[in-house]
Amino acid sequence: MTIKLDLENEMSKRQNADLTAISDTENLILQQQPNTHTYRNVMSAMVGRGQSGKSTLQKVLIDRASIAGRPVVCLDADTVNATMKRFYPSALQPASAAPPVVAGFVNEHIAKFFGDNKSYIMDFTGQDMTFERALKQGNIGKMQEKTGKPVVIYQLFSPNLEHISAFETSHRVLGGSVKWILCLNYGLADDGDEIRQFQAIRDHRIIRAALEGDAELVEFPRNPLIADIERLGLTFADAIAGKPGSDGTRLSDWDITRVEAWMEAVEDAFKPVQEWLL
Amino acid sequence: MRENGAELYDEYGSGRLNLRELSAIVRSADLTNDHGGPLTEATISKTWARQRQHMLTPINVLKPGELAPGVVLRADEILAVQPATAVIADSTSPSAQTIAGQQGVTSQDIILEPSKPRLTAAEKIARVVKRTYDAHPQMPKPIE
Repeated sequence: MTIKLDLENEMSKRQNADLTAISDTENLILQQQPNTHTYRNVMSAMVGRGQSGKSTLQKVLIDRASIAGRPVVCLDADTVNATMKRFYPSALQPASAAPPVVAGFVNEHIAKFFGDNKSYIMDFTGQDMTFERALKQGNIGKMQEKTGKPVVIYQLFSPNLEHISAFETSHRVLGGSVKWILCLNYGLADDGDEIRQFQAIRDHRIIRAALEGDAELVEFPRNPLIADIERLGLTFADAIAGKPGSDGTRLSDWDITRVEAWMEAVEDAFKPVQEWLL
Repeated sequence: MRENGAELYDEYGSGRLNLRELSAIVRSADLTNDHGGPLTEATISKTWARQRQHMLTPINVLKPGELAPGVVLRADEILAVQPATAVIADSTSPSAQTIAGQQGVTSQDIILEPSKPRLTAAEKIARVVKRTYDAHPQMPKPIE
């Protein structure tokens, strides 16, 4: 997929696209258009400790689906920091932060996902186990087999070995009943020292055990302009489209090319798991 | 009914159709069965039930491995993407013994993934390390 070309066509039509408002007719039309990627409806969730890059990865996945015209339902169940809602106003949120309400919200949308024809992506507070507990309440493997729709969990890691414990807990709860994609967030390591700094993570017995199963490992490349884009309050798609941020400024044309290059690097890095993406 | 399914769904998508009304319309239109005989109430009712099921069945849900109309795979994707198969992890199966079985995957675990060679942990890690080296120069290792 040539991101730049697609953006010129798509973003001119989808300014701040309301990703949940796509009609069934549009959905059908998009699926009938020739496409160089196959896709299936997927439920994705980001888990991991706070500040591990979950929101950044979410934005990448949502924006790339939006560019390709694939409908995505965004669910912001982060009761502490509603980042997803801030960037995607159409994201749905639970009625309150009370744990039973959030759990009900999660279960409601797990059910909708399996009966719906869209992909879903959920955001949670760091180390929140609501999603894992919800999946464990039923037979998630059976539902995936019955509907052909996978549930994919992205676990993000910094070089900090403390992030392993959160993964160990989640993986112990769900095991191989969902698809695990382990992401090494290179943006949290020193530039040019990623391989060395993530070695302890790669070598960890828990990581290796998961990878011997069905878990996949990818690197999440550094975005040199992440701070600027977040300061502007833009999605990556909006930043590339040259939209102004919250302060009225936009990225320079040169910086736009840097973000485009980063999106292509992410696309390349995630090639081994492409079929599991939104 | 099939040809006008969209209009029927708009009006009767919930299924709340008055069968007597339908029956009256069918008879007034002089519709017959395949043999030219009159349509019975049972036939009309069953025909509507089939049509309703057709209307309520999602038409654009892809089965595992199925391609949407018009989807074209690139040459490299044809090799990478095989029809998905749902494999129930069985601790006695050879593949499960080397992979899922070692992980203690229970009989309830369903592995839903395309049929392609499985990599070991070492291979998956090596793939990431190689790609990192290729894409991003790394600092020289400190002299010890």
